[in-house]
Parts: sequence; C-alpha cells; structure tokens
Amino acid sequence: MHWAVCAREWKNGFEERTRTANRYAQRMRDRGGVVSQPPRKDDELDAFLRGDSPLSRHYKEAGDEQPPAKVDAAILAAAQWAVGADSGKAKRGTGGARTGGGGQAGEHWWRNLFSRWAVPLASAAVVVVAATLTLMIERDPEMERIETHYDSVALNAPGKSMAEMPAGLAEQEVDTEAQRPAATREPVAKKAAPAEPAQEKSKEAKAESAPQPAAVAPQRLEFRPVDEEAAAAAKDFIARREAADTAGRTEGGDEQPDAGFAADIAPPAAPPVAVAALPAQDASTEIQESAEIQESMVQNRADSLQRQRDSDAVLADDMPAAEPSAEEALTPAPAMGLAGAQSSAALPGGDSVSSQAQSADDAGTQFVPAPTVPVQPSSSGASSSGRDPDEWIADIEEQLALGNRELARAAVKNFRDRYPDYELPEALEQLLSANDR
Amino acid sequence: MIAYSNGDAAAFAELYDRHRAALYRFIRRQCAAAVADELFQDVWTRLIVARRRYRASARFTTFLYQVARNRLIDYYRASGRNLEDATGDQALDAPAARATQPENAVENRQQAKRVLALIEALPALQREAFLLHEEAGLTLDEIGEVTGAGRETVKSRLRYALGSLRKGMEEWL
Repeated sequence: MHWAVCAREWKNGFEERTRTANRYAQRMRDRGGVVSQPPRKDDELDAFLRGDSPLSRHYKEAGDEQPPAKVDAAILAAAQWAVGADSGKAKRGTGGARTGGGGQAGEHWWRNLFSRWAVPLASAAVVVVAATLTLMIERDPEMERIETHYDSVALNAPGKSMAEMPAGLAEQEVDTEAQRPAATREPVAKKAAPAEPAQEKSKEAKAESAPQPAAVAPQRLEFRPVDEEAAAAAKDFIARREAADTAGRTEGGDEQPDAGFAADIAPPAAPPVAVAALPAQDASTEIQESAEIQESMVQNRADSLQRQRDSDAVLADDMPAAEPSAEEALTPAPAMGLAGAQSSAALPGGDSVSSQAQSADDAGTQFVPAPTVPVQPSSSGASSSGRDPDEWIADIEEQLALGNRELARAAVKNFRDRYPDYELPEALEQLLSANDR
Repeated sequence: MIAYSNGDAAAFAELYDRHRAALYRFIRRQCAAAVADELFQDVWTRLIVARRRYRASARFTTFLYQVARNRLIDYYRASGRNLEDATGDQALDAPAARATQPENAVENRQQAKRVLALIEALPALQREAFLLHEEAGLTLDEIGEVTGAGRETVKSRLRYALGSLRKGMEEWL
C-alpha cells in the first residue's frame, strides 16, 4: 500500500518536471534565445578536425587579416638588429685584438688570443714532452751499455784499454781504485762478474743499432804523475807490510806468496810475483819512470823468480835460517830504496820491483807489494862451514856469469868473511874490490 | 628558429612569414585590433630576445602559440578579467558590425561576419581551442599542450564551440 502511494507520487513528480522543462524551453525559443545542447555525436567534431566542416569554410572566408606593415617592419628590423648585435659582439671581440682597440674589446684581447691558441700550444707542448721522454728512454740503454763497458774495462776485462775511456773517466777510475782500501779490493774484482751479463744484455739490445766495441787487445796501464799523498800512503803501507813479512820470516814461517795482493797490481796473465823487494828509496826522489818499465817488470818477473831460486842456492850458506836478515844478504841498492824500508831480498829483479813500486807511486795508487818469499837455505841443508870453498866459488862465478852481479858481490863478501885467506879468482877479486869502493 | 639563433636573419624572415598571419588572427580574434597589434609585436619580440635560450624540444608552432597565449592571459589579467570569464573584445565591436551590416550585402560577406561574431561570442577557452585548430592547425594533443588541458577537455571545448557556431549559423548551413 505504501509502495503504491510512493510510486504514484514519483510518477506524478517526474511528469511534472518534464512538463516544466518543456515549458521553459518553449519560453526560451519564444524569446529568440538559443538553448545549447551538447553534441550527441562526434561526427561534427571529426569533420572539423579533418577540415571538412562547413564552419571551417565559413571561418576561412570570413577574413584574412594581416598584421600591419609597420608591425612587420618593426619585427623584422628587431630581428635583424639582434643578429647584427651578436655578430658585432663577435667582431669586437676579435677585431679589437687586431686593431688594439681599447675598451671592453681591449680587455679581452689576451683572453681571446689565449683561447684561440690554447689548444695548438697545448698540443705542441705534449708533442715536445713526449719526444723528449722517448729520446731519454731510447738513450738509457746506450748509457747503460757504455757504463757497463767501462766498468768491465776497468774491473773485469784486463785486456780493455783504459785509454778507450774518456780522459776524465779514466782518471776517476784510477783515483777510485787508489782510494779504495786494500781489504775491499777483492770484492771489487768479484763485482765485475755480475756486470758481464748486463753487458751482454745491453749488447743484445743494441746489436743492430749500436756499433760493437772494438776487439779486446792487451793494454798497458797509464799512470799519472806522482801524487805526494798517495806516495806517502803507499810507502807507509809498504813499510808496514815489509815489517810484517820480515817478522813472519824471522819466526820461521814458510809463507807463500799472497796472490791477492799480486793480482791487484799485476795483470792476470802474468805469473805470480814471488818476490817483491822494495829497496829503500827517498820519498822526495822524483822518478820519471815510463810505462815501459812496468811492461818490462811483468816480463822479467818470471826470470827474476828463476834467478832468485838459482841464487838461493848461492846464498844458502850465507843466510842462516834463524836470521834471514836482509842486511846480511842484501846489498842496498844505491839511491833506489824507500826511506826506512828494509828489503828482504836483493835480487836482480829488484830493480823491476822497485820500478813497479815507483810506477805505482807515479799512478798515485797504493802500491801493494807482493809478499816476499823467504829465502831459505838450500834444500840440501848443508851449512856454510861444511861447504867446499871451491864449490862455493864456482857457484859465485856462475851467478856472475848469469849477470847476477849483486848476488855474486854479496856472496863474495860472505865468502871473504868466512875464508879471509882464500885466494879469489881475479874476476871475483875485482868484484869485491869494487864493492869495497 | 635554430638557424636564427645561430645568427641567420634570413631564417627568421622565413619563419615570420610562415606564421605571421595566423598568429595575428589568433590574437586579433581575442582582443581589439590596437591591442592585437601590440600583443603580436610583443610576442615576436620575446622570441627574438629568447633566441639563444630556445631549445627544439617541441614543435615551434606549439611554442609560438604558447607564448602568444601567455601574453593574452597577461593582457586579460591586466584588464581585470580571468581567462575563463573573458570574452572577446570584439564583442563590443560585434554589435556595431551587425548594426552596420547592410541588408543588401553579399550573402558570403554576411556569413563571414556572422561567423566572426559568433566566434567572438564564444567563451574564451572554447574560442581559444577553436582558433588554435583553425589558425595554427594544432591537433587535440597539441592544443592540450598549449593550454595545459587534457585531450578530452579539449574535445569537450571544441564540441561546445562547434555547437554554438552551428546554432548561430543554422540559417546558412
């Protein structure tokens, strides 16, 4: 019941509202108004968007207004001016630099110039630096090769000439060697061994580009003039060495030559120096020994050794084993001994040895004498008292015939001391009388 | 525009010649003639000044009419009106045009005047959408981009605008 009433009232209300809307629309139409109605379809809109709408045609036919000419001119002039202003700024920026104009353009003169040349200058700098580094890197192996070469020449390869070095480098090598203590020289010789692979490596690296070093040839050491300090040091060292050797021999030790010392001053190919007698010499004496003396020293060493051995037999009777004093056996070499130095043996080769010492002095190096070999009595062990005078005389004459004049002279003196009444041969008598003078 | 920003004045002349009439009518349909000349010149001046900042991120036509629309909005605000409420200044002129319309004028001429009068009578947003399509040839999306409205909103505005114009032009359609 209630539902029926509600439905009837709703129906009456809807019809009333519809009649009211129709009456409103009729009144609007009567007044000439337009009642807008939303388009129910998009056909009209689609036609408009396609440009097929009658409204679009009417609109296009309605008018074709154009902006006034003065407005066009003003706009185009403004656009032209703006572009001209831009180009004018650019021209002022560069033109001012060329003409040196003042004002703002002049202030940017260097800035513009720098901005123009910054990239080329930077590129050029990079190229220069790269080229320099490249040259340095390429030069390094060459320098290493040269240094290794000179190291090997100075330390390892005795046949290499120091004359191949630059003058300054050669002097430096000699000075360095002279200043090095004797105790440290042995490792230096060993240092040459690892340098050899480096040299080979550098040679392989530069085999194609770098010229090969000259063939190895025996060379002589060239000593410099006398260096007073080095000479004094050498003399001091020699004196101490002499004293040590003398003491060792006095104690009856059967010392053997020290090959290490000999190797420092003698070429490796030379025979070991058996005897190094340094006669006393005045330190202030100026000796002009040439390199030939050094060379002759090396050549005469073997002969000297042999002569010494021969003379041992002659002197055996004169030199008691308990007192191998040099004063008893040696005749001091006139004006050739170092001051205060006591020679251990007077040998014909002593001149060579002394020349060697002097040559070392000349070089300013520490002259390290080869250890002396103690002069021992002959292996027969015969005492001088039991020796036949005739046999002794024969030996002395043999030594004299061999040229060992000094030995012969000393032996004759000893013989005369032992046999004062024995009649000497004329040659030995003259030798003795010459000694007495 | 890019060529002009790089210093090519001839490129600007070509660009100006291509858009000058349509833009001028777009502005002229929404304001008085004297104001339209001023706004038109102002729009192009702004483009010239902003040539170095221009980026080709969108179609130039869209950019140009967006600038023109902003200038119109500024003008409306300066006149104490909102864009939604604004009607064309020519509404003041339209009655005169109608009044001076000679009864014996050529039918086409009457129709043109009638269309212009109806356009001037449209709400600003509907008139703007209509003109953007008729003068600038923008699509629905581009109109939405210029006006900041959605596609369906633009379609609705166009539907209402076309309906109003159709009703006003019923006797000639």
